[in-house]
Amino acid sequence: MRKKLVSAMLGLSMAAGLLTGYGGQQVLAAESAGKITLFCDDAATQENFQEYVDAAEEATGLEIEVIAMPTNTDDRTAKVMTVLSSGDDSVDVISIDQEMLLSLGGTDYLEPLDDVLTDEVKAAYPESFIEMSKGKGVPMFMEIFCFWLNGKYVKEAGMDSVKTKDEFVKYLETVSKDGVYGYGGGWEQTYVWNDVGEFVNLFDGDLFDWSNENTQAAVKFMKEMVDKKYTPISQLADQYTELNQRIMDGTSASMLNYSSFMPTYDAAGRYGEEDIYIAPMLNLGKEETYANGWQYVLNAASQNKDEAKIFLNWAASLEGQEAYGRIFSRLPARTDVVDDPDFTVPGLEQLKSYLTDTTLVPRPLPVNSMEYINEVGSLFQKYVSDELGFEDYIEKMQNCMNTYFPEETGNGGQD
Amino acid sequence: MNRKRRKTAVAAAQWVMTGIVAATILVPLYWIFISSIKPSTELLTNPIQWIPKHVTLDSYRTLINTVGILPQIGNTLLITAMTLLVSTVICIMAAYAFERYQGKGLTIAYGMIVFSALIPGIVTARPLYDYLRKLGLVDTYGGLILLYTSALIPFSILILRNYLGGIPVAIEEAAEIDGAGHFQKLLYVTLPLMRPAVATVCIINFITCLNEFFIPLFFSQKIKVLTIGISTLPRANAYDVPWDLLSAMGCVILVPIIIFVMIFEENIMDGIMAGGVKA
Repeated sequence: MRKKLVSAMLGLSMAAGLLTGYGGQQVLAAESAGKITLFCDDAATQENFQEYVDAAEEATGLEIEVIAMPTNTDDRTAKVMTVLSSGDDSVDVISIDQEMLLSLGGTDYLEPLDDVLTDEVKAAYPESFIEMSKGKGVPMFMEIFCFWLNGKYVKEAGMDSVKTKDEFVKYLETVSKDGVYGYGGGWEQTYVWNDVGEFVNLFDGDLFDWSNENTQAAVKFMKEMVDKKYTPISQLADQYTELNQRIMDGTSASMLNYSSFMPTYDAAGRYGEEDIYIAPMLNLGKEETYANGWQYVLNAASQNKDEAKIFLNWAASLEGQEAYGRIFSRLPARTDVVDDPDFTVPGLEQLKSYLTDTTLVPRPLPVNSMEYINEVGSLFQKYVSDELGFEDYIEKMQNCMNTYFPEETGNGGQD
Repeated sequence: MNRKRRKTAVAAAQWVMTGIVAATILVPLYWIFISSIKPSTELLTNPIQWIPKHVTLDSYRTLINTVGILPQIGNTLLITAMTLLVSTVICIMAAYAFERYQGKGLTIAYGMIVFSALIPGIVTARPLYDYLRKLGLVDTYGGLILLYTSALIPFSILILRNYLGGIPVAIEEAAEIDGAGHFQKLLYVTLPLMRPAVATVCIINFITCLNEFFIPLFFSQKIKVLTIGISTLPRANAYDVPWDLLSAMGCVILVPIIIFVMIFEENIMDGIMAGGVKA
């Protein structure tokens, strides 16, 4: 009898628990604007990602579930492609980089975002970012390919600024001695295309036209830096991680590198005008540099498109972009965010000059970007190692451009 | 005297070779270890610091607090343990059937199982993903255990069947005369004799499970195992490689493997030799 009584009470309490639990869920469902799943790189890379999710949930009323994405490029690409191409609806909003956006922008795997990217919203973003998105992405943040200097060497060289070609050459000449190189690059095969493209930009060249004198002058200048020992030939093996170490060790006195490395120097207590800092961009003929960034896209197979668009509308808004920049100490993609006097991220003052004075352009990438990057890197490495003569290098680079950018070179893919 | 000298020279040469091989293996391991306890600002200094100037456990702290390595270890152990259990039971029974019974169907089935090991995972990944998604098994423990098990089956059956070939059938026939059925023969007579091979298969499969990267990468999202943890390490941007965290993660993955191999080294060699004699 006692056992039966206990069983009955347990059964009643379980039923009551279930009912109250169910009732609770009903209340939550009524209050919530819905639920979405975010498949995001930041969830793996940013320690305080939950803070951003909390801000988004509070602003949108959505319940946001987060899945961290592989941060390694190859794994990430494989994973995202599998999810999208299989019509998997387990994730709604995905963050992707420029290379993936180029590959996926023309496919049906991504939902067009015309109702999110209104004219008003588009006007607040750099034109190049909106073009890059092909109407299917909401830009998240901006990383600018900046000119970095070591304040100690600038002082040693007795210079106030390193901006023009003459000043840059003087800086290189003065500080390149005793194991120190005036310039450092990450010239490993898959990285050096950034420097090649950037020097072409700075010399006012045309990456698609290698008969252009300025384009040729840019790569000649890079080779001269190696020949005159202003930059080490050993950096042909270095990626940006090794380059950062050289900058920290003081064996390289300047570099061109992405603004997103700022937190690395900041965290090491090394960022500042007395030490390592972002200087105004060089102008060796033109002040132009690459700007890059990630974007949110909407999975076309998503079952929660309306809810996802609520999130994307917030992410694209001034409020959403401010929250993103503030929480992750990054420069948001929306240019009007920096107009807010209360908004601040490390290095913002230096980066402001890039937004106002420097022409920001997207990195030119073909759909089969890795093949292109490897070819540009391989040819440049052969050129600076004297395996290829200048004329041969120029000819091969033009062929390379004709192959990967037939429209831009007007070649139609024929060499 | 000459003979003695030659013996000494041979021994010396052997030690030199052993030293070279050991250094080839141990120096990278040492490099990984010191990289895991160096501050990130001293990782790639030139000249190389073989003894760290400053020692820090920051990388391990980040792994625990930010990357969430403890749940990953839990997931890895759960999936590995279940996979070993399921695959061992299935493979012992399958190997016994393939070795002790004759038939065209069995020969074809065995051939197909072994052949399946030759197909690279990437070839079947997409259709398999669709199939598992329809079954609701993507990103579930059940789905992962199923996939891990299927990946282990060909190799395990191959080793166990070859080992079984060396055990005389007469022992089982004697048991049969005493009234033992199929299951009793396998369980009480053959299985105890197969212990070295079963131990070898378990150890090798344990290492394979710990190293498995492809299956969890493709077929899970929320369930993270250690190998996938490597691909989700925090980094400043797409161009940064967090060598300090990678090294710490490498150490965490290496430790159980090294311990296992040290303890069961003899079993591994015996089992492989015995299983590999007969094709």
